[in-house]
Amino acid sequence: MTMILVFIKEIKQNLRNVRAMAYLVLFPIILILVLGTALSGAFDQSTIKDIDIIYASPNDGPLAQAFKSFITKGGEMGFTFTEAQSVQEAQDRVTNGNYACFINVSDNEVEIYENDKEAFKANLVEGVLGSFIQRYKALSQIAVVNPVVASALIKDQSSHDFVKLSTPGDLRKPTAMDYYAVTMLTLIILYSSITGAHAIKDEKTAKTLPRLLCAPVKKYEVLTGKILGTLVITSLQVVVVILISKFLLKTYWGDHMLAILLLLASEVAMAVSLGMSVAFLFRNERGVLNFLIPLMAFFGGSYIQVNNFSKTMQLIANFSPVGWINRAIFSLIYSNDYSSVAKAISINLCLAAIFVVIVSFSFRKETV
Amino acid sequence: MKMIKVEGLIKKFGDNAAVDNISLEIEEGEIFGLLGPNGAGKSTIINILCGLLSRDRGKVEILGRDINKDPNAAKKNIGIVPQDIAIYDDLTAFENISFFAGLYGLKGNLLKNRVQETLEFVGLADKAKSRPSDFSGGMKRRLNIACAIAHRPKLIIMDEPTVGIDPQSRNHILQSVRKLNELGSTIIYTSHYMEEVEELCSRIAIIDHGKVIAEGTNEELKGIVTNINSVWIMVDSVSRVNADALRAIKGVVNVEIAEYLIKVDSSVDMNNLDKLILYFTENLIAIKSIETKTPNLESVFLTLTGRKLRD
Repeated sequence: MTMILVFIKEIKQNLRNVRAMAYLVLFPIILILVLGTALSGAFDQSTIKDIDIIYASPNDGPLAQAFKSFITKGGEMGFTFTEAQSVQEAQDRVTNGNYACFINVSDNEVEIYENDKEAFKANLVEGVLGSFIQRYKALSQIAVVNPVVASALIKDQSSHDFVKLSTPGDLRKPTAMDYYAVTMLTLIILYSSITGAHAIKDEKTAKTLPRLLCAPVKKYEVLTGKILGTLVITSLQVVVVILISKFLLKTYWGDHMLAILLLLASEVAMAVSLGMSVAFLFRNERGVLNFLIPLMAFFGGSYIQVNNFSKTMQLIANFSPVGWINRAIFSLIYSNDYSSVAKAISINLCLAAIFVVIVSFSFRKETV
Repeated sequence: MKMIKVEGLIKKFGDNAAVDNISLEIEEGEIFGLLGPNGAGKSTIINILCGLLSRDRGKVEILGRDINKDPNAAKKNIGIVPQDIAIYDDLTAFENISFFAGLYGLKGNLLKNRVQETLEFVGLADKAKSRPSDFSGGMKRRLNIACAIAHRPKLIIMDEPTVGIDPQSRNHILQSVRKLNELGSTIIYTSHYMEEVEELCSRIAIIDHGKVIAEGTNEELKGIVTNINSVWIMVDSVSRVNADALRAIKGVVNVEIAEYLIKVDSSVDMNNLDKLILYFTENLIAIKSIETKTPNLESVFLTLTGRKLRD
């Protein structure tokens, strides 16, 4: 009961704060428009035609044989394959930017080395290669049960139906508007930490916290109501921004909206709980958040693509939770690649859990 | 039945004992005053009673239940009117009361009716849908009280409820306190305005430096200072009045000089009025009026501590 009362109160208070609501919805839209228009030159391709791939497949085992079918399929999609003389040479040429990636096929595994500056192209290849490997694994399983059928399937290159070779259909690369639709949304979610901080700080400023704690309530119920209320409000703002950017600004969000929403929800949880813990730990919570948010955003690629960073900067970028979210969303939209989704959600939810523990501990000690 | 029983209560902040071995008993139906200067320990006692602060030592029972063992059972019976106005500016008056009463388990029609009744009680029925940001200081104070009483608590704790408001709102609040008491609530009323405490409370504890230095009814407390005669002498100008010379007169225990007023407290057994008048006539200070004052809680505090309540 207490939790529901606090939850409803938080929703009402937030909805009535028209200025903050408008800021969190309009600000990202304006940023998407401004940055998307101003920096459109930096995102010069909307589709990818030629992707240069270097590969090494020295053996003649079943995996190498199957890889040949990938080369055929890739050729149809516009990939250009060059056989490497040596692994070292191939890696150097990828590092130098001559190729988007290097695929090394051994007896049992396929390795892929990517050029960070061609991350979108490399991700695309990785996505297609992932589908190819999935198909190969299926064939291997069939061969165990019925080698004759498997052999017939390998010979019949056109017969792909038993495992759909999913490819990023329209081979897109984000336009500036597409890029900033994602990064400005994840940036503004970081700013929802201020909403979280206010949920705690405003009770202290209004002197209502002692009054709340004088009532026969359990502290965790008050806290849960506050967290849930702020989460719902922020999520509502996120959905509005997505709808405006998708249908009004016509930005591209791919075909995996549910997974994207899950990623964003995990970031909302992280940001809101971060804000609340900062409100408990620091007197100047705004100052602390206004220092932390731009740092996380910068290293998360909100302003410029992380691929353009130096190696050291890219290493630091791994510490930005929003960077993981951005990378996972772009991989989903442009490579149909789910591999980073679980990791990004886990990182954000783990951070959220740590912050919630800090908040719970601080709130338990809270007196007047 | 005893509403509150406090035994040997101690609360320290570092080396400073904010509450220093206090024992109190408050009966059901009383308006009990806690009187003391700022920083005396009144708010600390209240915060311990409400469960906001833990005690270092001692025992606190509300309606026979130890507040440490069963805090929520005790809290259900308490309504707190904090010293600072504690309401939400972005919720309406109705929503504010409804939210806080809801925390005490009221819901549905009962909640709606109680909120409406409470709004009428504090004279804000016509402001139910208004937000406190549009309210005057006095109206906010009344809403502050309303948020504490809608659940009809048996014990209402009012911590300086009349600070910084106009006389009209103050009268309204004092009337409300009496009415709540008539309706059956026990009230603990803290203030550093001795006139309010004197007017309202059936029993009073005077607190200083975390200790109860005196406790009893208004008359019992004033009895402490029946050995003091207080004389107020109004003069044209106090510039030539020497307080030390007045203090030197036999029997004088305290002298205060205001703009045109000299307050002189003397031992009741020393009839020194003639000597006081002689001092003024000898120094050619014209006396405009002389008034003998009966003792009040201020003089009780002064006698007990050597300081004024508002020092």
